[in-house]
Amino acid sequence: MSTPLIKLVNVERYYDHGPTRTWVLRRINMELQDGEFVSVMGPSGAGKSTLLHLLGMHDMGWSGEYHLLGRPVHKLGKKERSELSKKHFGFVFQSYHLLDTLTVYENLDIPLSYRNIKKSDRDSMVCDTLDRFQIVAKKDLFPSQLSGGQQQLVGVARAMIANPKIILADEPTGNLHSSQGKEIMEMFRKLNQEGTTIIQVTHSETNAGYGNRIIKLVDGWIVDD
Amino acid sequence: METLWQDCKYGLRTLLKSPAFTFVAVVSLALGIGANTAIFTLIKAVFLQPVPVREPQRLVSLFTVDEKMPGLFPISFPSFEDYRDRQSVFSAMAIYMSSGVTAAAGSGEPETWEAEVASGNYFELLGVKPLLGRTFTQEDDRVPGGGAVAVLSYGTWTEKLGGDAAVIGSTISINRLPFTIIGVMPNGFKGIRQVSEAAMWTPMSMAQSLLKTPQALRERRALHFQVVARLLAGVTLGQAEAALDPISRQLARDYPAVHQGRSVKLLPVAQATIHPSMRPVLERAGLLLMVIVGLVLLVACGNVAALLLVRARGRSKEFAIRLAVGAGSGRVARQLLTESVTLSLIGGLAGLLVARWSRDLLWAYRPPMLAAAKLDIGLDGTVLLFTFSVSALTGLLFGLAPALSARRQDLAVELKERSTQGTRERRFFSFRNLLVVGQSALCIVALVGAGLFIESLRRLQQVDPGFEAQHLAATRFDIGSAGYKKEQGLAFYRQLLERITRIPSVRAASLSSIHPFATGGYLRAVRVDGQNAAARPVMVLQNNIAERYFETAGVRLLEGREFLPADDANGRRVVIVNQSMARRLWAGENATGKRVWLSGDTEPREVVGVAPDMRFFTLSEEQMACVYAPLPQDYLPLVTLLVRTHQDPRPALGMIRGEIQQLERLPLGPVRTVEEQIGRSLWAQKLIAALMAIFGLLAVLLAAVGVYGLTSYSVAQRTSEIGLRMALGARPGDVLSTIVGQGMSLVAPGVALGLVAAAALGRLISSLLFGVSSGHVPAYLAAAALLALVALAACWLPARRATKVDPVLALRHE
Ligand SMILES: Nc1ncnc2c1ncn2[C@@H]1O[C@H](COP(=O)(O)OP(=O)(O)OP(=O)(O)O)[C@@H](O)[C@H]1O
Ligand SMILES: [Mg+2]
Repeated sequence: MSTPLIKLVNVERYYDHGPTRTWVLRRINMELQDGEFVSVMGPSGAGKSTLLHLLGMHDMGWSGEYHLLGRPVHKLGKKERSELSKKHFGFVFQSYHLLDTLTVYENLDIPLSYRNIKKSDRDSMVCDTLDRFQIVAKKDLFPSQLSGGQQQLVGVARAMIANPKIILADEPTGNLHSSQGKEIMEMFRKLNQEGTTIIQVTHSETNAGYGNRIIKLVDGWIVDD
Repeated sequence: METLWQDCKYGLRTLLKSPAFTFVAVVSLALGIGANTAIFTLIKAVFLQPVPVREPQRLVSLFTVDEKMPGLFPISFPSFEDYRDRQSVFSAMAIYMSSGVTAAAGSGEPETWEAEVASGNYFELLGVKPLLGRTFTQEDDRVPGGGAVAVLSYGTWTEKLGGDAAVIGSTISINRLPFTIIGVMPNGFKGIRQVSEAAMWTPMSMAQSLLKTPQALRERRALHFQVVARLLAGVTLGQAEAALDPISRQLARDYPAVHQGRSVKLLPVAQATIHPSMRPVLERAGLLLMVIVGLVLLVACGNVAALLLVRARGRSKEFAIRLAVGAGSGRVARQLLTESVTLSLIGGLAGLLVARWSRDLLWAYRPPMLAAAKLDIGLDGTVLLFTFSVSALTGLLFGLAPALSARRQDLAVELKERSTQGTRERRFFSFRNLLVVGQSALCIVALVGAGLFIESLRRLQQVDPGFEAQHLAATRFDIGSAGYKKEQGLAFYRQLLERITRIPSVRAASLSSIHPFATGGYLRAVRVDGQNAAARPVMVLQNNIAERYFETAGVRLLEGREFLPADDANGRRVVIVNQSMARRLWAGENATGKRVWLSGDTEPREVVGVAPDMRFFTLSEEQMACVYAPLPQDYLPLVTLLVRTHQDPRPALGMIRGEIQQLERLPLGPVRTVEEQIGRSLWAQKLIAALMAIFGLLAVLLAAVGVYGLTSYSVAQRTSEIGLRMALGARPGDVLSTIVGQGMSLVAPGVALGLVAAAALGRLISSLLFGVSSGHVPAYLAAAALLALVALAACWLPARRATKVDPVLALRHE
């Protein structure tokens, strides 16, 4: 088999609260292949979000081995990690995290503005994305003028705009009612079919059903894969 | 009242609960209010001090005006008598003149005192009573030489005579004559002039022995005397001036040579407390300083308003609860206002300390001409009232914004949990932002002003005085006060110069009636010999000098020769003219050999030399036409000894002093190098430049605090946004530039606004600048660059904190 897209070996994460040490992730070993659609499930506080942030390289304080496309992330410095993250990941958040003071168009432009892309190229990428997600009509609206589902659609669009290999989504439908959630899931399935690897955290069996693999976390341990 | 007190108590408690906030606010206010109080104290002392006389609003000062020369001049004694005897608009007119006299009280060293020699009705006209004894009257002024009485100032009495009431009736020696002390004036009485202080007053009957040039008493040309008059009831100043016009015209007919084109102008005595030639400059400088410290205070207010606004926002939940439990919105607003006024009053109290300290500092740098003047610079009731009003006003001013925004509280929104998603406003024109824009603009105005004055001073210091100032020393003395008459005086001069030139370190020495960069000289009308007698004479400066004057000054004559021993009282009448005068009278011709008439002369004088132009009193003066006359032919008892040494003259100063003292125990001014004297002549420019620089930097410091506060606040507000941006790929550099960019996007329009305002206001100060236009671009660039740099630093510090945001933490709050 070819090199896995992501490989974790004995990854651990803990927080120190004074004298006590809380383990959030314990001896995580897993391999993900390109093109998978993975759902991470587990009770609250299990460490799902922590795992996602670790994969997305926002978190630095873990131990173990993390190989991304064969590159040893654990050996890389902060700068290289953030470049790598920028290149390969897109994020979708439970509460959308759109910037209230920016229009839809400007929100989509943010990730591009941090990626050394010419303004004219950025413009055409934003337009393509607006088109692809069918939100062209909304481009000059502010997030507060959109419904939750529409906001999350923009969130997904923003995650996709820089053409990442992998989307990390932390309870993307947590704040939506089911019909809106379904729309987002359909979008994920479509993206996955087009080749994007998707790792989502979810509490819903229905949503997990869109994926092809479920990883269960309990108290920081993988209990089922 | 009850609730007000409650508000105050509560306000104080909230202030004490956030000591860091209170500290920054109080320090900002203390600096702003302190600077204003200090400057106001000086302004008040110089301009606003009431003249302590009866009904000062009916007193006027009288000045000569001349079509040929701009400005206000004193008056001559004979024409004073004419006006006095012919006028019908004043209840009385008094004349006075101040003169340096040599006084010896008891067995003490002789000293120079400033005596005011005044007509007998002087005190009666002013309507002032002595503290002790009596003042002199018309009776003391009846017989020439018959009124050897002295009225002492309070300062003289306490400082020189021990404040002993027994001095009344005792005698002191004035110019070696015995004078009886008849009275002591109360503390605070200085006569009309408030910026200088007379040590004593004597009647005009003693003028012969007290004035330097007693012949001036009979001379219509000698504009040496000051006149004060009391308007009759019901007569306005304008009416009085008009009523004096016919007298002026009559004088012009009777004495056309002198009075042609002359009339008199009246000023309310309150405006004559400072010499009219000095007043406009002082006024403009005072106004400038008030404006600048006003700017500083506004910048400080901006900071406090910003702090209060942030705090009000942080407390909006509290206000909402207060509103919910039934407090009227006006009540909440009042609470906020009470707090801000309390805060500013505390700031005002601290400001008084700052003012006290900075006033003392300022006073230590006061100009030499104010050295003797006992200005009242106490932090008295007026000043306290000023400070209190400024404090209360600023409190209202910066408390208004938060109070108004509190009124607009939306109850429903505030009682709900606030969203963590940063602020909802995208408004550039928020009050908070406008504060920073305004502060930056004010700073730029202050900085540009400072830059212009510093550049002006620099240019001034580069001006060539026209002679060798290096290795030159000068001191001034008055042998008239030691009783010398002309013959003895000239002998004294000869002897002194001989002795001085024998000092080994001395290269040359001479005498001059002008003290370089200080005082002396007088204007004289000159006509070219052979010219029509009706032709307008030319007014030139006259300097009476000894032999070797130009050699001592280090100047080579352009034509002709210096004065020689043969140019004495019996010799042919000769003069040397400067280049400006030569050009004015004989443009294109050789001046040597030409003949001129000086006003009052009975024979013409021959020009024997032409000297290059030099500066006489200030580096900034317009070049004056000047005629030099030999001292033996135009004798003066009050002269300056100039000494050129081979090396640094400072070690020789003591010896020079000693030589004069050995010849005669004269009260001597300090012996100074001319370089030092030139430095002193720049006091005003130096003081203004220093103050402008200090206040400019103070404004920048305060604005930096403002920018820092705003940026810190916004970083704190935007934590989750920053975390999100980092999660979306922003590098620390991107975050840094976002935050710094936000701060600078407010500073930049402020700078632009400030530059425009400075350019507009600059024209108002152009008359105070030397050699640099108010549009001097480098000053503007430097101001913009300095503020930008400081603001950048003020943004950068909190922005660095923003780069440390942990995106995981920032995004957790879901
Ligand atoms: N910065 C931190 N300091 C201390 N403990 C932390 C920190 N971040 C997370 N934890 C702890 O780590 C554990 C896992 O948190 P995490 O957010 O990954 O859970 P989760 O599985 O995403 O839960 P949920 O389903 O509620 O989102 C929790 O017990 C949490 O308290
Ligand atoms: Mg979670």
